[in-house]
Amino acid sequence: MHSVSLGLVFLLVLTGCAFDNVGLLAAKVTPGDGAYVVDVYSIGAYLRTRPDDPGLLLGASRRSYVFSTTDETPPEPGWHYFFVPIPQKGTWTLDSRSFGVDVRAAVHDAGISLGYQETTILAEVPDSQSTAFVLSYSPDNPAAARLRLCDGEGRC
Amino acid sequence: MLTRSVMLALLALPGLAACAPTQVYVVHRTVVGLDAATNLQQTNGHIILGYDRNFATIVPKSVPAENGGKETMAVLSCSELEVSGIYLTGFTEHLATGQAARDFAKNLGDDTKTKGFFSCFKGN
Repeated sequence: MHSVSLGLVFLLVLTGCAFDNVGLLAAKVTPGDGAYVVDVYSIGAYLRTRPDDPGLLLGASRRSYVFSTTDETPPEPGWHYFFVPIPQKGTWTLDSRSFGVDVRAAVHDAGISLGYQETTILAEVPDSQSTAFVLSYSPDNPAAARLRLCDGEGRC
Repeated sequence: MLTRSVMLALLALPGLAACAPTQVYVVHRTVVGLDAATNLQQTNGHIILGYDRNFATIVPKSVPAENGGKETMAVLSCSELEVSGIYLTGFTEHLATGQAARDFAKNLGDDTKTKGFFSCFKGN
């Protein structure tokens, strides 16, 4: 079973393809303050089925996912190749920069672009949720990511 | 052929999900090239050739109200964006929703209670 998985990864890398968190990918995990950032770099065909970021890209991209450290244990900081640790938990923010043909299939964002496109989702909160947060993020300085959660009385 | 099938399946997904927004959604987008997109209800869309930058917030309008009806979701938000040329270089998003938004709204003038959480509203 293990060798079959390795074979599939090898096949994806050889063909210049990636599927979710496997294939021709590199990712860097960077811890921040109350948050951590997973920057995923792809080149070639990249099919994503994450509920918050579904789509298909033919080209090159950097997708940055910001997660809360309170949601789950962060992956090992540093670089990861071909099999990247992207938690399935929903992101607090998502920044994507891509060049090529990008087909987007998210609920709020369905379309296709050809060329360069940069999308930053600053917040995505279900209508049933009572929450308060302050999130600071700089795409080129992931270590400065900061997430602070509070209630309406200022208890953080 | 496989790629074509996958693309058709992906394009069909929004049609299956055509319904009222159920999430607060704050987004920034820059496009250089060609971009075609549709809204959630697929009642309108756009095709852009060239350069475009958008900043948008979607607030659900049909959350259950205390009287049994529907109302717009309570949201208190302050977005600070830093841009350089066509690129977004950073942002700070202050956001409260639901009961937390109502509580913050009541306490906005009292910094001892909000502890500067919505410092962007100071002086407004």
